[in-house]
Amino acid sequence: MTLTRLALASLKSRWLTVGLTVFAVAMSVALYLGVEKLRNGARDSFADTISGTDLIVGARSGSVQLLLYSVFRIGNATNNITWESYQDILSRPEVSWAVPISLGDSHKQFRVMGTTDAYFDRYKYRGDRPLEFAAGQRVGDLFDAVVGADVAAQLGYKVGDPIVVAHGLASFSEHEDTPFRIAGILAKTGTPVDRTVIVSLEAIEAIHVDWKSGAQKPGAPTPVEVIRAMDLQPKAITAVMLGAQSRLKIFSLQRAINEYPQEPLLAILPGLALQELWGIVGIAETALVGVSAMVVVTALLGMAAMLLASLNARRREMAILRAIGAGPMTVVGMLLIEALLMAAVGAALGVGLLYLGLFVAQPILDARFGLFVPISGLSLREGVTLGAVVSAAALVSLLPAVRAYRISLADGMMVKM
Amino acid sequence: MMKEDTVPSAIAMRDVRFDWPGGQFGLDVPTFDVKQNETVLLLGQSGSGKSTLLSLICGILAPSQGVIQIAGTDIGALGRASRDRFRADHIGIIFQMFNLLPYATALDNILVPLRFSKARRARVQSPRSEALALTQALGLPDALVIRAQAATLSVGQQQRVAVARAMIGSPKVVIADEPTSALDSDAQGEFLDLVFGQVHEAGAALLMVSHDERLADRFDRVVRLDQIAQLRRGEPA
Repeated sequence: MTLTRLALASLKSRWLTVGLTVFAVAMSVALYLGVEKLRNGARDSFADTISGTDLIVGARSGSVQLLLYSVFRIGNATNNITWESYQDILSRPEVSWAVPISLGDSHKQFRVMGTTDAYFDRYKYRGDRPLEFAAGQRVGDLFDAVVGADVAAQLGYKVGDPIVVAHGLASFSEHEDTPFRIAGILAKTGTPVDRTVIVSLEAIEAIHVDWKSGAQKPGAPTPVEVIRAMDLQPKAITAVMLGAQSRLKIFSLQRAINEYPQEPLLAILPGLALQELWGIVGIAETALVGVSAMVVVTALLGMAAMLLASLNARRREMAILRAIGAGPMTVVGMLLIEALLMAAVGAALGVGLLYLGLFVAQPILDARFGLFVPISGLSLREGVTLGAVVSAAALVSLLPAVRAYRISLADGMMVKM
Repeated sequence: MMKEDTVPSAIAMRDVRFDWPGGQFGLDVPTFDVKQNETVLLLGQSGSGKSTLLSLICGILAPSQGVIQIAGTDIGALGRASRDRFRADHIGIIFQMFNLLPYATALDNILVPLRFSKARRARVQSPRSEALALTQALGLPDALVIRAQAATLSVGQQQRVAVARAMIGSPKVVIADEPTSALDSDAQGEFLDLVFGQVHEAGAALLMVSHDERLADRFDRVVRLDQIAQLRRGEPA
């Protein structure tokens, strides 16, 4: 008859209260680990918003701002890059490839982006995943548009539907005279591409043929055939995605662009800027971890309260143990073993709940939010966390244990009520 | 009275003085002995210092002055942890009622003392079969002892399990605190027969406390608590 067996039997006899306490610990542990997994998943998804691109070039502003408008389609460019500057960058020997993008128009609440066919080859996310088509194909015609998964889902678009692209970001002045046709719908990526309407660079020019200084020219709109015959090479673009010839050349290329004399430009490393941006949005993540840690603490305090409340009912038990030769420390030890057993079972159950939850939630999170949470084993950090939960359980049970020691010492083998 | 030193004492108290913390109460025991193999009935009402005396003998409390020898060892000279170990090694205790850990089986209850005492464990060849031999002698069926939780046993059965627990590992001193008061008079006689049989077989000394004088003729000797112990109260030391 070991102390552990005795503690187990004692716990078993109080299975309802003990079960609820263990379940509370399990839920809190599952919540904490779940938040950790989600957090890491969100950070990785975020960091994987764009990959394979070495540099992003835009008009000189801040790196986060450039990242926000070029990748996340949030906010606006302060300035454009002239077509000449773009050509100069393109001709540099370090440059392997370049994808120009042009922003500034919108369709309903979604941004319209003009780019080249290379975008579909060069834009990569989550490691090295390319854009895939759920339906249709790439931009072929001048008035072809490819829409992201969210655009298609929210507006109910199918391949072949006509859409109208608005000039500027507010939709009060729509380019009704230049209707586009949906050529393709992209598969869900979990990146801002899902919320983007992609057209050709020339299409952006075509929209603006009849516009000058933000207002429509008076008179009849230029017929579509005339527009098709025009030279639609843009005079300016918003940003450029660049690939370098080799990794070693990235920094010299960045320096050269940042010191480009003809125009104030800025070249950023997307990974670095993403990290910088995560540093800003990551505060919420820290708060979430803090809250879930508090839930674990609460569950453990509940356990300590349960043990404390049970002490009076167990004075007889403690007196019996004392009479048959147990010292007060043995009584304390038994209480600590009980707490450790409950915390350990709770933690193990919590891990079980976590993986059950992950298996159920993983496909839903990926499909609905583009948030990919990998189901991996427990990391060292998570293992340490579980150890900390069990240690904290021992720590909070010191309170009932000390009380048990006092009772046991005062009562001896006679219970004085 | 037996002559001193002809038979060694199982319990010997000399000039023992105990003061409760705060100095409000005290107990003095000038001299009290229980010889080896002797059965002694200690008659006393509750509130006459009975609990304090038993706690002193069992080493739960330590005397302020004087000597308490149990099986030749001055337990007053031991530290608290050593007294706990000494109790586990040498004393078997039976209470009035609620002797057992309710969630454990009767067998586990009987074996717990061996967990706390190496000396007792060393005196037992095979704990399980010796425990069952004890319960068989006490008239308890094996199935009940092995499987039933202590809480499900009748009071009489629980008291017998308590006897088996007190006797396992053959302690030299058995203390019983009104062990029959929860039993009806028929069961009392039968129970005492069982206790005496086990105590004699083990060659142990038995000190039983009761307020029931009818039990007196079964014992070697009857002592009134107020003859051996004086209670002091109300005079701070």
